[in-house]
Amino acid sequence: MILIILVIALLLFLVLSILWHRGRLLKTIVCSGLFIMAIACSLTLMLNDVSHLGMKTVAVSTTTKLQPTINPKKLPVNLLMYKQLGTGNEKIYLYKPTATTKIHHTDADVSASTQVVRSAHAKTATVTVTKTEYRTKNVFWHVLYYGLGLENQVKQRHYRFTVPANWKVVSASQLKRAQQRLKHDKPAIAQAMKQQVPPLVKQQVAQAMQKDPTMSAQQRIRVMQRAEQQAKQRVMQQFIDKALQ
Amino acid sequence: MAKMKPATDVHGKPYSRFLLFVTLIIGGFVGFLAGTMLGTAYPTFMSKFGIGASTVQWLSTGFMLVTGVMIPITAWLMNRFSSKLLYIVAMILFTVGITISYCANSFGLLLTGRLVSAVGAGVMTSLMQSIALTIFPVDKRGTIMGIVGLAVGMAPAIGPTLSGWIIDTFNWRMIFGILIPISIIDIIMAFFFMRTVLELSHPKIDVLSAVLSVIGFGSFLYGTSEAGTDGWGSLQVLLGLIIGAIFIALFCWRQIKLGDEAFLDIRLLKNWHFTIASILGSIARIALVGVELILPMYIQIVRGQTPFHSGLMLLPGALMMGLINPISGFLYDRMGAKKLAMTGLAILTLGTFNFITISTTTPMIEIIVLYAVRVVGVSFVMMPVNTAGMNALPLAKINDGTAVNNTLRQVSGAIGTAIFTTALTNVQDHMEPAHHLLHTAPLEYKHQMISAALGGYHMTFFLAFLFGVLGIIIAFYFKDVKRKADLPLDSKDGEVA
Repeated sequence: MILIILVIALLLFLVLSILWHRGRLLKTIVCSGLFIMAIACSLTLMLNDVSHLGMKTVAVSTTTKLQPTINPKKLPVNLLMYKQLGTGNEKIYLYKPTATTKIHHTDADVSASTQVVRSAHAKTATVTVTKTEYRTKNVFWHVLYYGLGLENQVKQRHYRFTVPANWKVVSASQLKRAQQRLKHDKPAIAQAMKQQVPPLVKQQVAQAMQKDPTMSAQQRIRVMQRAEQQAKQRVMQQFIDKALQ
Repeated sequence: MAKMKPATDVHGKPYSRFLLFVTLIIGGFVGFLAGTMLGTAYPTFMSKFGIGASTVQWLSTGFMLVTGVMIPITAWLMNRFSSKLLYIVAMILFTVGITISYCANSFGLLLTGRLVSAVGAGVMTSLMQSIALTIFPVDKRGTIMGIVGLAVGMAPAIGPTLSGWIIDTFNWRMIFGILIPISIIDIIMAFFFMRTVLELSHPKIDVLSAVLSVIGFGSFLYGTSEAGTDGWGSLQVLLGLIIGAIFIALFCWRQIKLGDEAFLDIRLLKNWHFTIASILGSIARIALVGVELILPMYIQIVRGQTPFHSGLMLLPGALMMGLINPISGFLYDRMGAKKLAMTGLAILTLGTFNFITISTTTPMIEIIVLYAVRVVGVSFVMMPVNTAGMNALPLAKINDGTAVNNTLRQVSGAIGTAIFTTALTNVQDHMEPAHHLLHTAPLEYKHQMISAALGGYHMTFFLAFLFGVLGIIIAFYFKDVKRKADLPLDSKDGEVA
């Protein structure tokens, strides 16, 4: 709207100052008025550029549930990953909302801020994105700035990650090192599995038998299978924890 | 309408006016297109060749300077050599130039190609106007100049958008590549359809003047441009400016000494009205080309738009120019140039004012509209003051006046653009963060780099704004001059209205 006013004022100024021949005083007043109006529109737009004249800020928050950034099939641990930039003071977090398979990242901009909270109570990881947006102050400014696309311009984003206690927050380089180490530790892992898994399974089965001595053979097999899986996970977890240190 | 007499060349042989005119228009169109289509390609060249704004601008300023100094030389060439030969040689030079640019693998070679093509384009565009005016009877001149104007006016309108589209779709080489086949076809057409239509005489050319003008304006432009990288205090810059100033002074002294035989009759600048008109025309030219160079950089570098989009954003402004030029011509005939120039300069200045605070979030529509507003302002200044300047001269001096006016406009356009780019680079360099920040805190580095870039653009647009204010002040001293039909040829002044 303000651009239309500006253009119309200039157009009238152009036409009148060139084509109007009579009434010199009136012409001067009208033309000056139109030009001043154009200057006022210009100044308003400039002040909006410099200090967001006519705008207020509104914070809008949305919370999204997250799944681990790296697929647990690839690495059996719940991870929230970040990339360190430069000497490490600047971080970009990579996160994957549950509804999508795409990895999102926090804004690569100095205006963005991030906070990671570890919660003992949280069952799922979440991210709360608080967007501070510019909105026009009132109807006057809304009409004046109509069509400029100034509404909902983002001033800054704040990301608050809440992760359960069993999640790990690691940097991309830490993860890379860990993956290399796990590859290197492959024989040791196999050895540990061989040594640690059977006694753990035996112990679990014994405990189960103690609880329910009437278990059928089929039930025992199921308990054994579950126990083996848990034991393997436990052993693997030890290595992962060590690798991620 | 009376039927035209069959066309015959200077040897009395018949030829087709239409085919000759088509050949000319195609040549003139590609010449002007080459001159104006690089604007949106500069950011691409900057990243491809790893150069800054102060280096890349040579493609524009160098082109303008060469076409500028070629104007008086072409006036001599047209009288000395057959127009067919001259046209074909100019077209071949132009084609060789764009082919060098097409194949260039370094910025040096790209610029060399550009300057070679500028020699051809400079000759061709002057030749087009003179031949078009010669081969048609007086009563057809209006229409013919209208068609010429359309070709000339269309080129800057579609140039930046077309080159943006070419870069996005193919690569920067194709900007030149697309012109090569058209130029070759035009050369072949010229072999068959071009004729020697301009009467030949054997005028003398003062070679010393030509050399002095090339060295003088060239060194001055070099000094102004190098200040972008080395700063105004560097020895290289000062030497360039001083040598340039000395040679320009020598050139002027030589012209005055030569009198009527002058290479460029700068004695015409003694005519106050003509001088003021030339200065105003130059200011409008600087305001136009300087911003045309800087704005695509902002749109692409700061706003991350593609070259095609940056071209599209300038398109409404360029179309405006085509629309306004005939209107301003019509209005000039009725009310003189002063009113139009004052109003145009006021609009130009106000349109530029907004760009001083341009930011990373300035609405794109605002940029498009205000750019178009600026162009409307420029259109109300350029043509009317040009015509008014000519009217201040006696009839016999019109050709010399046109040469002086066009040369001044091209040269000042080049130097003005160089000043803008130098200001841009100087401020950006001054505000740029230390390079180690890129390794320690890249986001902060990016933020500070964008602030530095914006600082540069603010300074440049502020300078453009000051040029506008200067133009308004000078326009106060401008007076409308109406030529009397019986004005004596040796009259120094027209009649002040």
